[in-house]
Amino acid sequence: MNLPKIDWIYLRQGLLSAGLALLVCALVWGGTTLYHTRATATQAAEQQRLDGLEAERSELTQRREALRKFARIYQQLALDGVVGSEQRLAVVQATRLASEALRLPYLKYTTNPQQAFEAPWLVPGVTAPVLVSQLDLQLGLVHELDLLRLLGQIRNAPGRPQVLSCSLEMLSPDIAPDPDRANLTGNCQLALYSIPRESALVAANPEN
Amino acid sequence: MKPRHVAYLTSSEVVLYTWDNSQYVPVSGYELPNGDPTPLVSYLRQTPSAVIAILVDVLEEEHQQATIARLGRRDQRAMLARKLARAFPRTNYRNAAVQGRLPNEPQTARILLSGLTKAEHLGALLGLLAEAKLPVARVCSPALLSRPLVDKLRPASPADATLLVSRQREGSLRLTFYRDRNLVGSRLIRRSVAAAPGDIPRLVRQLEESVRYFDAAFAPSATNPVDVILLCEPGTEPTAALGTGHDGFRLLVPDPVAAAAKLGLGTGAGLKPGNADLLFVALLRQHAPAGDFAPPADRRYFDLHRMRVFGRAACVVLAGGALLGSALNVAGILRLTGETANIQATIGSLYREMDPTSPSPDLYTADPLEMERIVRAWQLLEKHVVEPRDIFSLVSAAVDANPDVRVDRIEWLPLQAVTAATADSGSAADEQDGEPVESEAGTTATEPAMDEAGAATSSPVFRLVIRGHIQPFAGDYPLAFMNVRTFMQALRADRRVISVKAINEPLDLNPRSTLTGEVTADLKTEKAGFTLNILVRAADEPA
Repeated sequence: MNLPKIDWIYLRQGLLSAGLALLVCALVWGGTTLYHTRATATQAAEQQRLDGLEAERSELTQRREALRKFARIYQQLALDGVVGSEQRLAVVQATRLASEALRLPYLKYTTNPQQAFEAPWLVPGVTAPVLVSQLDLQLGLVHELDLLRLLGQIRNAPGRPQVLSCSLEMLSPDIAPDPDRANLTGNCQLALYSIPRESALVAANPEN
Repeated sequence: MKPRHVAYLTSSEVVLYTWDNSQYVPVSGYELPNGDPTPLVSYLRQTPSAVIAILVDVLEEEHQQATIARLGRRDQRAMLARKLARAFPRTNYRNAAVQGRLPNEPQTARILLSGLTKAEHLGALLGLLAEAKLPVARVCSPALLSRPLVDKLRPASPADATLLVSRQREGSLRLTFYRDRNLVGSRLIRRSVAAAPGDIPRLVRQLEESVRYFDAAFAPSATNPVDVILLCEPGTEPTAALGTGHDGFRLLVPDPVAAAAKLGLGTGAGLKPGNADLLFVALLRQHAPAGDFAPPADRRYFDLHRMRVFGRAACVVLAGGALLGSALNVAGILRLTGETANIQATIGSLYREMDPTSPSPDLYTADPLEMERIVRAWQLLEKHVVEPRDIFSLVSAAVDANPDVRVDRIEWLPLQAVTAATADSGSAADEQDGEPVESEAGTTATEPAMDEAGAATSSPVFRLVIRGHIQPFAGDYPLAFMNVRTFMQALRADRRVISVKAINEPLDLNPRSTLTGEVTADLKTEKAGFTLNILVRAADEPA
């Protein structure tokens, strides 16, 4: 059929109602689709907000639990000088005072430069980074118990140095001990740990 | 599309049949040539979307058989149009039908050209219907509709030729001639001339004359008979072979009910005595005619009507789809609204839960998570050191149990440090003794100790090396060995001890090594020394 022969009025009369119904249905569909899209977006936004809040709550709970469990120990560590900068001066002074108080025949100490302490059981993110300075002691002892007393006093010093290893040897096993001279020699390695605050680490390494 | 209205046009009248209650019933009409068609058109206007068909049953219907060569569809259409124009130059109401190939000439097709040579009344009717914008689907004649009658009603062993004889409503006779199931021609015998119902001899004469009219070369005889199917003849009982007095005509009068069933017509339609018009009207609803006389211009509103129908169907389908989509959207909106409300309620409860107790960061001297990391690091550091007091208590307990054992040297260090030292230059004890180091099992001391430690415990492990001697020692090596063994046993009794191995004993009893010694009077210079390698667990936990 050629276009000029089409009776548009006839066609319009027959299709008007159906076309209007289709238009109305299409409008309804378009409207509901639009509203559905908006509702979906709103729901997604609210879900995202909820996820964020739940993560925040989880973190808050975690912090609260961490605070409950670790705040007291942390405060004690801070008071003991473990947290923060190294207490090298206090440790050296405590070592000297202990040696004098115990009247050790001799004591030599060497403190090595501080460096990062690495161990497989220290997991970044789970544990804080640790710095360590090794303190080597060479001792002359009258009695072996002097070693325990000396180490006990040093370990109570700020920074709470830890004993890594020791060796103790009788100088003359066949001779009776003399209270006025060294009967034993000792050689100990102590670790002077310090755990700096993360803010201090960031300030020291701004590029990280 | 099946027609709802059928206009039956004869030479004297137009009768309008309408499909009502499963049959066609006459509802309107007008006389020709001067009748008023207005009531008929007005009636049709009441149902403007109903499809109309026109059956033309007039004298001026002509048929011509011809042949054309086999052509493509487009060329064949053009050839048929040319032949039609040549055969019926003065009418637009003409039709060409291809009837098939010739039996002996497969490249030649037989065609039938049909035309209404005088169609003023038909033209006027079509003009009225077009003016009223009514859809006329087709214009055909009883002859073009009669093929199903031949197919369904002829006898089981049919003759080559079939003659359909039907009594029309006006009383005229319509004769339609078929050869080999192909329409050859059709003619109408006026009521005034047609044989009266029951006048068989006259009917036979008219049949003979008609056969000569249709095919002058065809001579009906006993060996070349013609099946004559007599339809809607009043006063004639149904019979399979009615005697006519002529051997060339086998007259058949089908049972109206059985014939209607064969033709697929309703029980109330068709084969009414004296009204074959209704038979053809009913046939028009069930069977497509062999051709259509209406030119495309006269089917214009039918084409538009089809467009409207298909358009409406498309609109309905699309609107239905849109409504379905809308319903799904509404269901989705309701679900989403509910879910959003639940989420918002959860958010509100979370806010209420968090707000009053949320500690301000200012309250902390440090981030609690940082506190945790620092404390955990320190706890691990403490876990990996050993208390000197524990080492001393371990050794003291063993020495107290073995007063003949004198400790000359004691050394402890973490196993990692031992490993590093071993990798560099061997264990400290090895260096001091300067002797081959053999364990009780005859292997080197360091490696099995490490393996054993790794398998035995997960807590930090330290190596403790004790060097000592047995005093008093009067050269009694078995006693010295026994004292060393007892000392080792006392060490093993401690739960923290993983293993105790002797790496140096008063005598080297290894069968693979050389043992030398000297016996003198001065036994004071002899000494029963030993070195033990002990692995100790830092934490006091069961192995």
